[in-house]
Amino acid sequence: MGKQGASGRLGEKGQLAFLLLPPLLTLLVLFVAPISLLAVYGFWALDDNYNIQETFQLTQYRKIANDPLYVGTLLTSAGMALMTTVGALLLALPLAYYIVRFVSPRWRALLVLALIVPGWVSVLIRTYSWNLVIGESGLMNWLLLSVGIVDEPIKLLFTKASVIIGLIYIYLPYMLVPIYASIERLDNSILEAAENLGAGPVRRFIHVTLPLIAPGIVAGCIITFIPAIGEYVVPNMLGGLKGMMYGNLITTAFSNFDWPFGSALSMVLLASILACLLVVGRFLNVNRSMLGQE
Amino acid sequence: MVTRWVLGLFSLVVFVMVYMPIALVVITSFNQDAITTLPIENFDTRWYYKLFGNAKMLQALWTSLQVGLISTTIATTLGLLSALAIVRHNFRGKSLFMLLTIMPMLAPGIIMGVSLLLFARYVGFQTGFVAVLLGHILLALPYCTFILISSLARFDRSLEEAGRGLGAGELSVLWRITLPGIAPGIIGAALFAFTISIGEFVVSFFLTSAGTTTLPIRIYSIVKVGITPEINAVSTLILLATVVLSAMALRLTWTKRV
Repeated sequence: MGKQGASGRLGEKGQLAFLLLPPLLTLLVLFVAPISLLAVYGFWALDDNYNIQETFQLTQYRKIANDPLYVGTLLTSAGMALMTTVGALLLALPLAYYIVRFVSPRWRALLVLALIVPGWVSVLIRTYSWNLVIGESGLMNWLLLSVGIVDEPIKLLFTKASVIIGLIYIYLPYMLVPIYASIERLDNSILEAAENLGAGPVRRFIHVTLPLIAPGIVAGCIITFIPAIGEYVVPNMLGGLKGMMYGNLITTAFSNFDWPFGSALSMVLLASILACLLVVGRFLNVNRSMLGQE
Repeated sequence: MVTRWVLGLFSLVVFVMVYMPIALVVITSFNQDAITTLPIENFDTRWYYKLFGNAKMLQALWTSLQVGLISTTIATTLGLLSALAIVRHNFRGKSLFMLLTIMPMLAPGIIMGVSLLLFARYVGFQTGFVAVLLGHILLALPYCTFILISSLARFDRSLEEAGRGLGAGELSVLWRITLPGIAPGIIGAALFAFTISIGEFVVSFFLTSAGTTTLPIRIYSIVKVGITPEINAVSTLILLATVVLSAMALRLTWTKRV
């Protein structure tokens, strides 16, 4: 970028403004303003005639704090999102490791592509497709009944477990991509050095590979956990009453036209996500400084 | 050696699990009977024929295509502007701008949906076609921007210098050298944007109006009552389209590491 860049008719500043203003305005109007309004609405309330009182008050947040349903559901959702994250990690890590270590480079890209592509299919379709697998007359029960392992169909659908299965399925690609990328970037000579020094495969994995791919794992966990805790489609389609998540509460509030309450619920979710991110960031910093001291 | 076989078997199982549910959607869409359970007695394509006579479904398809094409065009253009600003200019608050760009990708869909609904109502904007369109632009923008950033960063700028040396103006350089040079990135970004729009549900769910039903919303309203082979036929067609489009997009934007 030299002085030539500014030789256009617009000049450097004008060019920048021309490029930056449309996307910036889009983000301000469609993202920053709506989220800010959400924050403000949370401090408003409805009067008895469902009119909005635009006066600052903590009514909504008091309501959330006083009813264990809301905090309880938030904690349940966090627990389900955590189980989803761990589940997806336990699937993605061996899978990515196998693809990088044992699959020839020619097939590698194709295989990863084949695993990511279904992830671009509509969440709605991918979610309801699990009905056909674990539903009362789905594939799983059909197989179990025909083989004779069970006498009557297992009722797995519309439980917490079915929601977690669905969530793992939806978010597996999110976990796989950063982990695969970090394993692929590994320097083979380090592993060979460990091998020459007599470290077996398990030891090599725990003491050499794992610390080196930790950033990829953390990235995968973050981008899985955040959307999973606020998920609405999966619990709605696979959860029923037993598998309800926090997202269902937000939707219910909005469909009851109680926008201030729905907004406050949304802000609590956003704040929880932010808190999780801060804790993870803090934890990573501590780890890094410990590594530095060694 | 043992590790290899154990990991291989594990990977195979995961692979099968990834394809099994969507394979069931495809298989049961060919069931002659009006049920979506196994076993299938007779295979038939009658649900696909029925689909082409379903006016509501065709209307939803048309709405989805319109929203998809318009939001793709706008999101890709905005993403290109953003990427040009980020890769080629230094300005104050650049990292803040990048953070702002990535945020819509990270925020839960439900938050985006309810906040856009709230905002639309507050400023007196009717929900419906344009609102859904705007929502889809916002969702696709981060993907478009970051794909185009990586294309632009890899583009060899000496070609532009050559063009300028031969007397081409800035716009002519952009139009005739830069844009053709990053064409795979632009097409890839557009394909991703379209794929996102065609399958998007949560944000559309909040921003839709009675007259604007996208395909996923139509599917939702039916699946809530019960899954039918006809719905599986629609899903199969969407599946086919998204798999082809996203595979093309991934091939175009895949960065080979050296």
